[in-house]
Amino acid sequence: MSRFSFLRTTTFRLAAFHLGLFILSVAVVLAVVYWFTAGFINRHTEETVLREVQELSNAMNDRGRIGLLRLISERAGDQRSDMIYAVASPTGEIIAGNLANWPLPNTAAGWIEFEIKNRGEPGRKRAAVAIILPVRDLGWLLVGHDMTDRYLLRGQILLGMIWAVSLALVIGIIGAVYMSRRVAERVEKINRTIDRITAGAFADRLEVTGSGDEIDRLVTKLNRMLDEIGRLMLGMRQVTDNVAHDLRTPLSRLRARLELAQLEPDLPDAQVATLEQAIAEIDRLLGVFNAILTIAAAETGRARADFEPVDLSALVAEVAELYEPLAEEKGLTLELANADPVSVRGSRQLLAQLASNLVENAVKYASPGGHVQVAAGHDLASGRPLLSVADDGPGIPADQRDKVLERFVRLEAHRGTPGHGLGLSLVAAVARLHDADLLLDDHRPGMEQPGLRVSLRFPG
Amino acid sequence: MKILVIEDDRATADYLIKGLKEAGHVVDHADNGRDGLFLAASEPYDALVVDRMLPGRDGLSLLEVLRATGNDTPALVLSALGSVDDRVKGLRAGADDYLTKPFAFAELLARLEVMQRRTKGAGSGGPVTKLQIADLEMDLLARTVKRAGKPVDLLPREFQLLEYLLRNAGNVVTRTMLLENVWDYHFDPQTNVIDVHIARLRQKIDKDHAVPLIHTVRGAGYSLREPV
Repeated sequence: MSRFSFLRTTTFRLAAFHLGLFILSVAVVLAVVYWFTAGFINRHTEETVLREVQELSNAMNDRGRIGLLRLISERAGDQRSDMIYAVASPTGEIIAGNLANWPLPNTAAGWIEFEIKNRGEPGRKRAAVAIILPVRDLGWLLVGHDMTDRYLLRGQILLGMIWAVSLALVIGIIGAVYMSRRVAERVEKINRTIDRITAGAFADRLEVTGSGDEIDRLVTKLNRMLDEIGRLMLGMRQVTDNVAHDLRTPLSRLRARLELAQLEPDLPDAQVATLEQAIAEIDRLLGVFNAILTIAAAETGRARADFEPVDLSALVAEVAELYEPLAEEKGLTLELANADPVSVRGSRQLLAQLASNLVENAVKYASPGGHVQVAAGHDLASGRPLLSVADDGPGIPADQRDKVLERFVRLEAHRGTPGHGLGLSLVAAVARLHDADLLLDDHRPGMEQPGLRVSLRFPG
Repeated sequence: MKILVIEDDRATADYLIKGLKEAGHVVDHADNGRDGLFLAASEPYDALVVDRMLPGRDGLSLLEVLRATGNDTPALVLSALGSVDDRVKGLRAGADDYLTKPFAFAELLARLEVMQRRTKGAGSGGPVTKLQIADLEMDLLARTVKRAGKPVDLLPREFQLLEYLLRNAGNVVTRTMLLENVWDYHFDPQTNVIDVHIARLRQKIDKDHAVPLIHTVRGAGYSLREPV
């Protein structure tokens, strides 16, 4: 797993999505809280101001202008209070109160927000909210509240909320990365184990953490499936072993009896010939039988456990060398093209058998005086290791190519030539064992004798 | 040779005993692993022929016990299991050779004799550098071959083929033995490619000479031997 590929994993995407939703809901909750808090502060300020106005208006009613002014100067003198009072003449000159200047150039009734200068520490501005009312025979009355502390509180709340959201975001991201990494690592571990198992380590099982979560349940089921596959493979192996034993033993006896019969002195020539033919038939049967067993063994994939690096170029050269005298005897030219050294992981014996089957077929079907080409190298298009054997014989029609890979299938045209129809199925089974793509095509397309080219492209 | 045959199948055992006796060997027989192990451990034999699947104790564990006690009598394992890994398991257990059933008797005989020769020759002095039979000489260091004093030009594989024949001169070597030992292939090609290789070798060794050295043994294989 590359360092950041967990960012692409399903778990991380899910975690990121949930994190997004979570942050959004936290933000909404905090916004509502803020909205209510801020509203409460404003309402509380307004209520306080209006209560004060009520008291002042009562004083005015009871004791007239003098009473009002006295009460205002009394209240304005209280240093601990946050209340602001001002009485101004209709032209805006301050008559009483704790405000140095009338805050607005144009006086009108209603709520205002303004800034106070030079109250408390000079040079520092303070926010205030106030109501301005007209007073009969006097001018204007301003009753307000210094908002500095309240706005400070509001700011602190807002700041706290921003911090809370940011912290939640950071913790959420760390959590999402950690969680998705953990899950991704578990999945990656499972992938690695499965790779090992398909590569031949059939005894390996996926690790169950014991947490009983859904991955554990999935892993348990996969393990059960692997057990089942193992059981089937063992069954298949036992069947082939038993078939091998139960058929080979009587064949051994039969062959032994015939060989012993051959040892009898004074046999007529005709009987010697019959015995020899019978033994040859048994050996042919044995050839079929061995091919079936090899195919079966290749198909179980068990041989993958013993895979080793195989020098494909050397292997192809050896097989070509093995068949070269036979080709020459038949008047054929066997060309070897393996200038580009290449190796693959595999079973040397099975690959040699595969190459030998292909060359044998090519030598069998090549036109008299023709060519057989054996090549190992890298595929030009994909760069994958490539093994190919081609002849200039009659070839195989495109619609019958899949058929020849099946067991015991021999094309009508070839009934006369010796063989058991398992050569190419063995090639197919060995190719599958090595994860190689097997391709049959015309060696010389368009010609009267198109020839057959069999190529294997191994995993890169 | 004194040979112990450990084989539970009556018919195969009879055939082995009869064939081996006819070839001039002394044969003992055990029809289960326990008796076989007892005999093999208590009597000196020149070779063992052991079936892989035996009642009492299977052939491979019998060999493992025998090898663990320091007994290194050459052993050939017979088995109905013929895949490459079955073979490897057999050789790992201590078998000197492995033959899949059914087999031609000639094949078994040839292998026993070659096996016997190999173990006998193993103790005699340093590595061999020259092989010779009649007027055919092979120098293993210089990689040269001479027949009647005249150099013979051989391809590397032909050299290996002749070397194997020379090392087993006088014995029969089968086509399968040649494929296994010269090419290291443990499968049988459908056509007899070996015959063609031998024919080529013959061209170079025996052509132009009155006395042939490479002989075809009918129904078995080839033999390189001195003229009688």
